[in-house]
Amino acid sequence: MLGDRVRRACLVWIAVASPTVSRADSSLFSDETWRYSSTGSLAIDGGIDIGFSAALPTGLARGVGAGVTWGRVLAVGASKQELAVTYYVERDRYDPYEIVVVGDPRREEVSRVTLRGPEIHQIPGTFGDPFRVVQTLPGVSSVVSLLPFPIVRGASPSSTR
Amino acid sequence: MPLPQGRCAGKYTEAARAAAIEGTVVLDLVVDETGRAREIVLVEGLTHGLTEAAIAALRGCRFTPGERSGTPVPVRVRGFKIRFLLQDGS
Repeated sequence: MLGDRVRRACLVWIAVASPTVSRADSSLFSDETWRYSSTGSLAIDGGIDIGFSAALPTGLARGVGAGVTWGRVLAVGASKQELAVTYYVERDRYDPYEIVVVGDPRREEVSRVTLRGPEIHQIPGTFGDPFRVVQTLPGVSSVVSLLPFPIVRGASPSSTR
Repeated sequence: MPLPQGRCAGKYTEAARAAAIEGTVVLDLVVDETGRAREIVLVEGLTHGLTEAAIAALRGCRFTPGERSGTPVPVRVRGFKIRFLLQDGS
């Protein structure tokens, strides 16, 4: 259903609309000049390939990327008979006296507790049973008392791994 | 003019990643006759160890040395930028 809607929207769009450069890659900076192309292709919704050409204005534009040799469609959204196309553009020249270091943002881990062999056997009241040890940890509960089915407290058993 | 050879590898610090620090370190330097960065002077720095990381990255860079009449000579480079970016998680 969605595919048909998108396909119809694309065909209408190819006939009447023009793609526009809406923004550049966030790692590219707007104080430089970029060039973009006027051709490209789409692959949307399970492999429907629709080629298009033209319409993208050529020339230079400051801030959104003028100067590049190609534009790549990364996102397509259908709304009524309009398509929003996002082009990511590649810069056509680089400052040789610049290094860009890209890092992965740290993902916060709520908590992690690691218990090793000897430590497990020394926890009082557990008789060295690793399941009982796990059930003594904060935030750990059990589906049925005295049975070795630990779960995260408040979560369903299927959510505990 | 001296130009970097290959990739100059820089590294984000853990502290900067944790604090989500981004920005640019600007340095002045001299590329000597052997193509190494010397006399590195900080122009604009960043916190959380990124200034030190930038200097370390620059020390690891190799340049083609500048030449005068075919002879390698030390050349001062002003405003060398090391830009630190965190990837968009989306």
